[in-house]
Amino acid sequence: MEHRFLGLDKRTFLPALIVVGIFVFWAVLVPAVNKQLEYGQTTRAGDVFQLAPGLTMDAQQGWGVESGLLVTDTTRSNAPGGTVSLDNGGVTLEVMPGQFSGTPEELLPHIEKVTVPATEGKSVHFEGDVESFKSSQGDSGVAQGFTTLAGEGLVIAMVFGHTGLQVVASGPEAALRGKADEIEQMIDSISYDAKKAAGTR
Amino acid sequence: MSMGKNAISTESLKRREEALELSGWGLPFKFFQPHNLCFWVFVVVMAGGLVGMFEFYSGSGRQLAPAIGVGTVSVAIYGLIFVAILRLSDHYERQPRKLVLTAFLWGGIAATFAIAVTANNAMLAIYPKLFGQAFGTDWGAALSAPFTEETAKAGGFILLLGLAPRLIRSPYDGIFIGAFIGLGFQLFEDVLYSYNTALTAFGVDQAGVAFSTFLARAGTGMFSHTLYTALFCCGIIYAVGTPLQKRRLGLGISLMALAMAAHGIWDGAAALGDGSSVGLLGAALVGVASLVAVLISLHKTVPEERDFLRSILQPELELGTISAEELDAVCAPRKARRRFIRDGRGRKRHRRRKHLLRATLDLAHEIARARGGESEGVAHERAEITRLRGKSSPEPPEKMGATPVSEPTSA
Repeated sequence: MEHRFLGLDKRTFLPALIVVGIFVFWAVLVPAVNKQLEYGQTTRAGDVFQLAPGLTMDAQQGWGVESGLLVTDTTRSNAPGGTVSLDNGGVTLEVMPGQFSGTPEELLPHIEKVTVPATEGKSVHFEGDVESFKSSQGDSGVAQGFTTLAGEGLVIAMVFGHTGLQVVASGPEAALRGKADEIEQMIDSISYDAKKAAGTR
Repeated sequence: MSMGKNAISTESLKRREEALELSGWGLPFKFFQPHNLCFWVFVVVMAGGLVGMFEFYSGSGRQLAPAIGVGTVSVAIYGLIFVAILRLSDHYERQPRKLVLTAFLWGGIAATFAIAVTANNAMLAIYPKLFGQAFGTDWGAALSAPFTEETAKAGGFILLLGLAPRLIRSPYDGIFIGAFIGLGFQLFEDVLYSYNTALTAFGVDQAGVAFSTFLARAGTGMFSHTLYTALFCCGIIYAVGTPLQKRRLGLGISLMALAMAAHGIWDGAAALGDGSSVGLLGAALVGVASLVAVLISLHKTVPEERDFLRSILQPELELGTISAEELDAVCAPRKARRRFIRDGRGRKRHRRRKHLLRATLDLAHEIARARGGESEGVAHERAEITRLRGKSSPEPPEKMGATPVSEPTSA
């Protein structure tokens, strides 16, 4: 009995095609479905994100929430907050907390060398002076601009207690400028309650 | 000690032949099979995994080299311990190293970087979109990884079934090959976690961060991918059936479901326990249940492996190479083997009896490799057994070779 088709043993087709099916389903189909789905949550006035214990950020209205827990969200796992990733008209804002002891000036080189290339790719090019600022809450930070193949962005470093904060805003030049005020207001709203942070430790 | 005659019955030789044919013992694993579609799918998905791995680490791989280095060295040492445990547990039939390595690499590279990373990212984004961020935080991992990762790893096992159908036939084979796929996944994932945690710590104190991540994951390593995949692949053997294992669809699906449930409960432990350690306790209990299921499956299939071993060695009893006591001991469970070794006084004697059992097992493997015929390996192991027993010299292999007697003698 002939078992060959195009030089391949037909009896090996079933297991091979099952695995092709697994691969196509998980690596092609599911990511495509994810791309088709709209954000289930859009920020509303008064929304406050929980970044870490005692560390919050007020949201501006109308941003799609890719990830991030609101202070009003109750999780069964008692999640202490985490990275907030927002999207609006091609502009993305990612606020990532992490353990860090030091100053914003010390944190910024780490962010530029390690974390930003991991998310933005190797084409990222930092330019301009490092600028210091003080938020309306009185917290200090440093910022620097960058460009990528897809557009431009701004990276900010702040430190609250033993938590470092990396803020990256990026997108096409015009869109980013259009959202600059909202981004600034969100960064300005970041506040830290040392007592609350200590209470959860 | 009663020794047999220097002739082998045709009945014993026939049984040996049947055992070798049915078990696939001693057959080599040939990976390069251009006429086998499983080979090409393996190669393509593995290439995808290599590209995925390169892309994953390309962003900050150089900057986080210390974290990757510490993670890699730690998991390599940890992995070697696991490999040693798995190889020692595989007492009866040692799977070919090339097959074990192929399984390991599928788990580590293809399953992880060609399928699981992409699928997990998508699933972890889909749940919050559909059910909200809090739901995604609590249940995203628990409702993603058991499906994405278990099927990704199982894909390698299915391909290996297509590449080595005569080598992977029993639930016993499923457990050991599955364990190596799972071990590969677990170790490569541990390095990936070391990288990710170093990234979230902004690359500060990379070695310390990577090592503490490794310690946290290594501590729970026993109830991790190695166990889940062993159970899942054992379930596949039952579900599909082989010439050696009658198809038992219900049992197969139950074992696969248990592996997925154990994985999911572990990943969702925090949410299940309402943030308390109760969830972890529950996950540990399900992990223990999975381990028990693997041990029961092994217990049920090991007698078959022992029968194969006995059939392969029976002619050697008739030939006088081994005694009935030695044959019984080498085919016996661990406790009985230990009793045999410790029989009589003196450490020297114990050590010699231990080596004798080892040599008898090696002889069985050499006979299997020679497909029941003669080889240098077979002659060497026979000589080794004779030496250990304190005999002057073994009979030459030519004479000891299959010399069937006309009248079959009872085995």
